[in-house]
This record gives sequence, structure tokens and C-alpha cells, in this order.
Amino acid sequence: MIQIIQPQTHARINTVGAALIALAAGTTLLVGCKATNTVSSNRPGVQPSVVDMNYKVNNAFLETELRVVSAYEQVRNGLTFVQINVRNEGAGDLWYMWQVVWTDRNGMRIPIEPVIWTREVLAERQEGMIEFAAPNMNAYDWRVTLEKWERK
Amino acid sequence: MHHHSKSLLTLATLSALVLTACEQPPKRIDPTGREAVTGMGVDYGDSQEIAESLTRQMLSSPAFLRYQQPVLARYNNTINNTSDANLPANVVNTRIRSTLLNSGQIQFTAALRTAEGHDPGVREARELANDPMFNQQSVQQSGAMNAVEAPQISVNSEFQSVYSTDGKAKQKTYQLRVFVTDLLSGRVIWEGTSKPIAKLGSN
Repeated sequence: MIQIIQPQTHARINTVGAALIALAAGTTLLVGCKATNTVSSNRPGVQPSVVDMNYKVNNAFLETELRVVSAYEQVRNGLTFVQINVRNEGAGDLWYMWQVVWTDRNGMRIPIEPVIWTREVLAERQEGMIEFAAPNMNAYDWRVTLEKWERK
Repeated sequence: MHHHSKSLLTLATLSALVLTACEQPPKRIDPTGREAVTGMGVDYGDSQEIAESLTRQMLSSPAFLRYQQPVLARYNNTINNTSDANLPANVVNTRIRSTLLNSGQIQFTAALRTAEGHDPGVREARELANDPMFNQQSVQQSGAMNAVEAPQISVNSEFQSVYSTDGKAKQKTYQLRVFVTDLLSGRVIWEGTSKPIAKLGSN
């Protein structure tokens, strides 16, 4: 908990102005409290992004909050596993949802029902991972949709 | 003029009352989308996320590679170790089973009476032998050549929950634990929990 105390030496400042400054500073500090710091290794050989992504931005506002950093793919037991690294660039916690659709080499959707939205939360400046696996060996390509989760 | 204004006001008030009294008609929503209801228990979307997170871990594990694929499994009924009697275990199981089956790595037997997904038709089909009503050429014959395959592994699942409160708020956290046993050796070859689903409400 952070308190903003108006020092006596600043008594000459207009009271309303001082209150506004204090409120703004308090808000900044409170929002800053929720941010995260990250420590990671600089291990050589780990590429920033393995998958050549096509990041189609339909919502520039969302991009400034939820940024896609990189994407990785690996085949395990014959199935493609995908990991997309994202980062909360906005202020405060970010609740978001994502959905993946897999297609075969002909571009046809692999028929899996239901196609679901998965919910995740990231603290301010926190990095997270969207992880999913191909439904079968015929699954060739994927498309992920990101959306902010705001309850109506 | 004054009388006219009064009438208009009365009419407006009545209209407002009628509109308030009208119930919102049902509408179709995306079952896991942003309009989906979030309750304190396990919702439909939660069920799907639990199953997805669990199967992703299972399928990325090398534990099943020791068997000729697809390995045959029995899927046991889910144990509910929570205080919530209305857990959608059937929805979770359906997604887990179909995802594993579609992956091509694991198949399930429907021949066992005590396993989940029992199909009495397997046994009944063999009881048609010597029944003159049926073309005997098409009847599933019993015997060593036509014996039903026995499962090599069994999949066990258990719903777990933790309840916490500080007097003002309450938190309920759910997770699904799954372990897979090799039926020949009795060894557990894989174990894991789903992504936990936590709900916060007020007391």
C-alpha cells in the first residue's frame, strides 16, 4: 500500500492542483505495482522466433496491449506442438482469450468440435505462452485468433 | 396543454413499465465465448480447457511410445473427490477420449462392462451365433481367431478441488488428475494434472 503525503513545504501550491498531482502520481504508482519484472538466460542457440509468422492485426488497440513476441513449433510423437509467446504491454492485468483452428494441406479445416476459446491472464509486462497441439498427423497449418476477455 | 403533458408523462411511464416487465428473449451465444456465464463451479468452457490442457501434456509425453500404436486402453469412470455433485465429468471425458482417439496414439476398448464407454453390443454380437434369425456368415464368431483384444493400459481420472476463504471472499480451485497404468506390470507410466480452474466469489 502506497500513500502520497503532501509535504508542508509545498503548502503554497493550489490545493486542487496538488490533489490532482497526488492522484495522478498515486495512480501511476498503483498501476506500476502490478507490473512484473522478468529474468531469463541468454542461452545461445535459442532463436527469437522459429516459425515464420503472419501476424494479421485487425485491432491495433489490442496489439498495443497484447503483443505476439515469437512462435515456436516442434513435432513430438508425430504431432505438431505450437507455442506462441505473448506479452502484456498494457497497464494492469490483461484477461484475454485465444482460439485455434487447424487445417490440412488442402487448407480444409480439421473437423474438431467444439472450437473453444481458452482464457488466460497476464500481469502488466508479464510474458505468457499460448500452447496447443495438432489434433492429428494430417493437421498442417494453424490460425490463432486473439481477443480481449471483457465481460458484457 | 398542462393536461396533455400529464397524459404524455403517464404514457411514457407505462411504456417504461411494460418494457421493464418484458423478459429478454433467449439468444444463442458462443458456448465458450465472452458472453458465457461464469459460475463458482466448473463451467462448460472450463471443462473443455481442462480436457485440452490434459491431453496436450499426455500426447507430448514419450510414455506411450513403448507400445505399438495405437495402444489399446480402458478408460475408467472419473472419481469425483470434490463437494460439487454437478461436475461435468462426462463433458471432460468426452473431450479427453475424442482428442486421444483422433491423435492416433490411443484407442479405447468398449468391451469391458466396468469401463467407461462400455458397448454391450460387442458381447451381444457374438451371442448371435446359431441364432437362425441372423445370417451366420455375418455373425462375429467367438474363438481364438476372433477374440476381442484386451487393453494394455488403463486411464484413471479424479476431480480434485480446494476451497479457501478469508471471510470476505471465497476461492474454489478445481483440477483433474489423470494417471495411466500399464496393466501388465502395474506400473504408473504417466501422471499429471490439468490446468487448474480457480473461481473467486464473495461470501
